[in-house]
Amino acid sequence: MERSWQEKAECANPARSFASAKPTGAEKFCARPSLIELAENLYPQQVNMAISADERVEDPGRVPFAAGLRARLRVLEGTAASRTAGVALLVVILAFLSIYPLSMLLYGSLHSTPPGMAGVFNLDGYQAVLTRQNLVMLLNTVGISLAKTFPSLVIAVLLAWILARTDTPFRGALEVLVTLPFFIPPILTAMAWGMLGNPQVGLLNQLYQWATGSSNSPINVYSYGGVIWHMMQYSIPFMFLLIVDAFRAMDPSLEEAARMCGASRWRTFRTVTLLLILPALSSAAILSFIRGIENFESPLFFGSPAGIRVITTDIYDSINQRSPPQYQYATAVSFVIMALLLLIVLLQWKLLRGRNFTTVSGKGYSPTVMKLGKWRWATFAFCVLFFAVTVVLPVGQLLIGSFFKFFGFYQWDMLTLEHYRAVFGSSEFWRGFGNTMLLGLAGASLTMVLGGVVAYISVRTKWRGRMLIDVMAWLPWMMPGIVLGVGFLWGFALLPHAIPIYGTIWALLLAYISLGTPLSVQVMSSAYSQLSYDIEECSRVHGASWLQTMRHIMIALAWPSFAVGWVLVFFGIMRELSASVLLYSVGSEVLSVVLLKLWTNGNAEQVSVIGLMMIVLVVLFRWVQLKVIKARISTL
Amino acid sequence: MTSGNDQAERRWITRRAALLGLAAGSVVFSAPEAARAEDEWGKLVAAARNEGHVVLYSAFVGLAAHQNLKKDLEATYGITVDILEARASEVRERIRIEQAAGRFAVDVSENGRTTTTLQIEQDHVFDPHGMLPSAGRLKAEFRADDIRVPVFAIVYGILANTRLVKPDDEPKSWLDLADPRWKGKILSDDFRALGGGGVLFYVLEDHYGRDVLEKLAKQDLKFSREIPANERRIARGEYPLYVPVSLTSVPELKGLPVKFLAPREGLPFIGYDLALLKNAPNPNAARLLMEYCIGQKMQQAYANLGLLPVTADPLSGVDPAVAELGKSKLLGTTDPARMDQLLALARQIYP
Repeated sequence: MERSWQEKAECANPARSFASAKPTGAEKFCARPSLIELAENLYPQQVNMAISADERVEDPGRVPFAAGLRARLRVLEGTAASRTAGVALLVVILAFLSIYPLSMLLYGSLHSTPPGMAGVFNLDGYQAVLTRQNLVMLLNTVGISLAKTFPSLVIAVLLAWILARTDTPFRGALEVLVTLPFFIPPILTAMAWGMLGNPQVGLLNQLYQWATGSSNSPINVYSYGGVIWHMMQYSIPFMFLLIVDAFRAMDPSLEEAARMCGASRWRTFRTVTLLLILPALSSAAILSFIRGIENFESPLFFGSPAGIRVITTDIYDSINQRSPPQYQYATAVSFVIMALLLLIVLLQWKLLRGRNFTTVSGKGYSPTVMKLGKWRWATFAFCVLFFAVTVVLPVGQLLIGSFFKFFGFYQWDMLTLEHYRAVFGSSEFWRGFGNTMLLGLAGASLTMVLGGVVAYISVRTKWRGRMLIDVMAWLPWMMPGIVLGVGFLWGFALLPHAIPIYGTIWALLLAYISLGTPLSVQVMSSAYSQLSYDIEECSRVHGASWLQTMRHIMIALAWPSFAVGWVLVFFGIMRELSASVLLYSVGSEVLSVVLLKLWTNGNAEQVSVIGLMMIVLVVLFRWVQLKVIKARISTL
Repeated sequence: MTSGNDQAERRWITRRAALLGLAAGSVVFSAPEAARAEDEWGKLVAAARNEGHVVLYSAFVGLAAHQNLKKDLEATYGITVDILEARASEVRERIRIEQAAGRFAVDVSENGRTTTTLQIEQDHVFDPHGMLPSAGRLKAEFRADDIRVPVFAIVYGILANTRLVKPDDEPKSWLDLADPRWKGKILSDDFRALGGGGVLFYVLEDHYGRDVLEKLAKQDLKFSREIPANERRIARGEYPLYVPVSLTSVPELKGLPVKFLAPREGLPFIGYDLALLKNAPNPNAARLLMEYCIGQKMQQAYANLGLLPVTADPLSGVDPAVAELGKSKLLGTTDPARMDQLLALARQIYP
């Protein structure tokens, strides 16, 4: 009976050693002059097997496999030009999405006036950055971001391990629930935590005082602790989402081998499990750290009253709170930050380069879970505690508050459905919702496809220009959103009028793709890093075309990460405000702009109704996603 | 010979005759003038109807009166109104870059006086609006010029929690905020930023000098920018006082234990202006919109929201409490030329 080329590829491939500096098959593959020689040298058995299989059931009219393989490989060898063209096309796309708006901002940082105004080139913006006060502010910002990234990483890893690799009860439901905080608009959780943890009349402090008889207020969210805690509520589920599939995609035989060699559970976890997910882990930590640097809501809400100043609030002030706005300073500060963040990313690349993190090989495996015995209830309790503190407490406030006339005033005579009626009866809300859904679906899909392609070329090939496209895809993540939005505005407005982007929904779509691409590239890069090169090569050697290999091997194995990335990008689009407010036009209003209007107008309760709707959507999306992942994993 | 009385009487008759003559003359000359103005305005309305559409960029995010404007202009003149709302600096930058790129999509700008003035001086994006019939009815403190048409103003006072501040303890003057009893108990919009905090700082500095602001700095003011959240924090009792609060919050906070206090010296305010964009695609509809906004119906709509009307037209049906507060004396507003200097001073006093 004929075995399909996928089966051949999957069964004929040995598992690779992990965390070694040894070049992989693909690295050898690219270094050698002849693909045919390579196939024959590396996979003589597979080629022979394939030949015999092919010869047995050769389709009429098809060339013999060996000849076909040679022809295909020749085609591959002869497609250097098409590869170059492909990379060039990607460079053009990414240049338009990231370099073009950034070049506008660079101009703004070097010119005394924004584009379109008479002025002179100078370095005043950069000179204004170089002050002692700014240095202190920068250190403050970095400190806060580090202080939230490390504990978040530890908790995220713990949650991911518990929910992906142990037999903790109800872990399917918990996996959805612990991610919910990430999808709630930050302003809502900030408001909820303001009610819970203010030192004067905060509910938690009142509870403490009632329980202890003390008049002290141990919790004060308007402090460094409050800023860090609020940020952590977003970074823990964010990092969890980025690393949980890396845990799930891990071949347990590697850990079993360590255990059989006498390593303790802790040592196995530390030296095998964690090392294997290093790409996912480091990417998640860096993405989260950068987001921490660029975070705006938490320092504004909890930091400003405590006199805590960070770089983003300074940038916001220089654009929105100075008369006239100081674009030159704001863009210059942003480029300084960008340069610093780029150094961190390069450091990560240096750290990971030359190491092999393959965990998914052709050798069949089943992601088994660790039996924890009675300890599984302890891990269950930990997850429930996390869910209770980060979701039940703040979201409970929002849910209860949405049924009362005013948040925090829970009297019977104030019970009302008025906020729900107002939201669901608003044509503006439905228009914004419709536009956001459209942009979210299209934007997330296109972003993930683009990110998938960039990541594939960056991680899986040695093509010339791969580093360039990787860097180009990273850049928008390193530019604070408030400033990047201005870059899009300038860039799109100054395009020739024959290119109909400015003032249309396309402007929003392109901005969202640009903003989401760094995330999609990181998610897909981490996933691709775990896939053995042998699977892909074997598939190709056994006659699958590049597209077939992509579809049946690479996409099939990496798609859980694709799905997670898609959800992250989709909800990123739902929440994005900085670019949206500058690029939307009449008729293309999006949900974040509707939320801004409601919030500014003092309709916090209506904002929470929309926030709750978003939570329902997340639960739905994640439930479907996990159902599908489960179904797929059982078929792997 | 004529007597002195006769002469005096003749002179009086002569003067009376002259005055009557002048009056008759002015009636004779002004009647066609008024008729001509009316005729011209009629032509403008007809042209506006033909344009059938107008686009407004507004820096007042979520202003409910915009819905009235849309409905009324469509119902009365068949003109559809598209309104794009964003924050002041965002609206300014969108207009500037659109004009620089030759994208003439917007007809009218609605922004605060400071930003509008900077747009006139630095961006050069406006055209004169020409004659507007209702411009003569604007109050003395809100005069229009050839570019700016005042449309409404936001007035600011003090918000007090009625459970924490007894009526006798309520601050009666802005200077009362410096009373040691309020140390650590005042939540404030940020004095170092544009908006309510910035205008209060400016006006206090203008009236009382730097000393008062330094005394206030010793009061350990808690700055917070999230205005809607700040008002709720006062209502919940986190702080007894919040400065400055907009009168527009009064209708929204009805039912909560808070009170708007109007200090005796008067209330700082931020005026909003309309201005006609250069190369506006619908200039006639734009002028009609500007006229409509200073007409009685829209001024009434603004007043209902707690905004200060800019015309002297009598208004009815406004919430009595809001109407009473709206009658408070105006203390002053910012001068765009000095604003940045004052913000720098605020950063110095409140580092």
